[in-house]
Amino acid sequence: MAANLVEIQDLEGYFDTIGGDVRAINGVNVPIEEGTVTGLVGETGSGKTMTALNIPRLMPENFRYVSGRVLFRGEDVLTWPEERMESFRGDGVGIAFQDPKAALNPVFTVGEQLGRALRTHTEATKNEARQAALRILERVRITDPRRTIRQYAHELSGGMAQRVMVALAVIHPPKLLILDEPTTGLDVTVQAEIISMLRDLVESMGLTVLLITHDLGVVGELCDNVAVMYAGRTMEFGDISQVFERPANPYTRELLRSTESVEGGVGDLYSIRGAPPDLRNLPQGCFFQDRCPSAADICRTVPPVVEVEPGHMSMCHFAERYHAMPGPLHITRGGPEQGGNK
Amino acid sequence: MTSDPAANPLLTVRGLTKHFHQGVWPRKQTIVAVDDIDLHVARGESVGLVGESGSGKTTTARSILRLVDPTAGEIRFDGVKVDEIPRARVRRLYRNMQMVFQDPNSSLNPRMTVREIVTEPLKLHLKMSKEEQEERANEIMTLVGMRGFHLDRYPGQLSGGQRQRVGVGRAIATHPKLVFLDEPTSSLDVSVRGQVMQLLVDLQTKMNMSYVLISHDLGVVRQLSRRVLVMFNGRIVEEGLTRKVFEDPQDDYTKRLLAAIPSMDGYRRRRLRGGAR
Repeated sequence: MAANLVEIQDLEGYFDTIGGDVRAINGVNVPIEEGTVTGLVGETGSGKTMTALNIPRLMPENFRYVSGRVLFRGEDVLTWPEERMESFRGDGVGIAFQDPKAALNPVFTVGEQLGRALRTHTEATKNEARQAALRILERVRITDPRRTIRQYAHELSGGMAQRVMVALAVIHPPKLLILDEPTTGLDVTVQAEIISMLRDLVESMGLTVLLITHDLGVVGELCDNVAVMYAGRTMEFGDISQVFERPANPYTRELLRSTESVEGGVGDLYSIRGAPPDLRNLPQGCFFQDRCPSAADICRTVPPVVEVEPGHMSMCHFAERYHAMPGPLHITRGGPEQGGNK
Repeated sequence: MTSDPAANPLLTVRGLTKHFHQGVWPRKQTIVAVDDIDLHVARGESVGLVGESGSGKTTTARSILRLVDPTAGEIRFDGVKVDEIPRARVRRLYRNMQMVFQDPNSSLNPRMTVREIVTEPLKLHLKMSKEEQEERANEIMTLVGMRGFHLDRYPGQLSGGQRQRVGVGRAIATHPKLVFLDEPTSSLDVSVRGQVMQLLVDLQTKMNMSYVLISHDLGVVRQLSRRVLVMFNGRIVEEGLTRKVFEDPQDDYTKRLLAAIPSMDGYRRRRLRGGAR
């Protein structure tokens, strides 16, 4: 196993707001192995983006740390002075932000933005930057880079804007690339093109990636490891086959099963009862207890993080028991291909 | 329910076409959003309309509801020739034909309480008294899995799933015969999405409504619709029983669409090819 490039350890923090503390991050542990794609998956408000923003330290101003470390090659990024962060951002860690049409600068052309991204970190001349911009646009499979380089964000389609966003993040390849919801809001066929482009790019450039998504299908297509988040906690972490085939956490299990039914249309319609907890008013102990099929008295105490097999962690009092169960997915068990057509 | 769905259709559409005009002379362009499509919906049936953005799904629904006026075509709904109704009387249609919109955040008036939202159609179409409205409002809340106290809330005080339940509640308030569901779950998280889908299935059975489900999410269509129409560039390129179309697609575009869905077991294929590290 390769060394961890980044390791988020026991991270906990909250937002200080007029309406009270919003406990967005409540115990996050994510190791990011060098040369792998790690998925950070969870529903709205589960703390995926907030977790990732801790690495380049781009947290909103009202975020307060309670505990934790963000190790980059063994050093705690959270203790670095701001000057050191400036070169670290873009050089150590780059982000392709969610909703690229909004994240791209509307008043500069694609070429100008790409040039600036490169020239901030290297001594490249304007002409070299232009050549590099054309090359990188080609690598993200823009059909006519010479034309795109002169265009503004509003002239791009959703798929093109996403490609440009990725190009901006990798024109000067960072040690860690964060991709925030790279396929959200795109049509399925465009999504498939972006996924295949990303897969090739990661492979050929040897990138280490943290991929934020709510889509388990995207995780399946792109990730080597996956961290499942719920209400600001990593509920489970492991190799994708460990997590998808032998989940050791009830939330992962329910999430996989409902996704397969709702998005894959496989089996009968299935959903998790209830709703995620309010981050202003979290329950004592496990945050999933109100929706969990096997909640017991012990779940009112904070569950331990259990390593059920090497590299496979679950935050649950019953982790071992869940790990011993057969997996929930039909697709990995060869069960019914579809059903439930009313 | 009739055994042959085509025998007594609730909605029959023939040759529906909608053009939009863009730009100014001499560069005026005509965009063909919907191009000569036929469809029918039987009583109590749920039909899926799938395709990507710009394929004309929503324009088809909006034309049938006369939210836009179709350029050509015949629309017959429950014995009424919808395309011939004068503009001023179109609203009467909405007692029996309703729509659930994609984004509950923008389709619910933030300054109206849930009570005002769900009772508005009762006032407009059924001229109910205050007492009747209140009784019906409470019934609706029960039907959509919410509670009486939610009637006093504003949309901003509800979760995304609850807001969409209110959107559904408003649409079914007058017991319509046909409801268009425009991407009804796409703004919801997967765990909540299943709940809303289940609600739609239950309501359909309970109230014997027909659905036209517009979605780019093929999983949702597979779970909710018995029959599916695939749209591409304003035309229907394939139609049939959902199970059949998904198992054995005939049209190239349908095949591409189905192949494009990211799959949770994608990692296994990568490993077989030796792609994953």
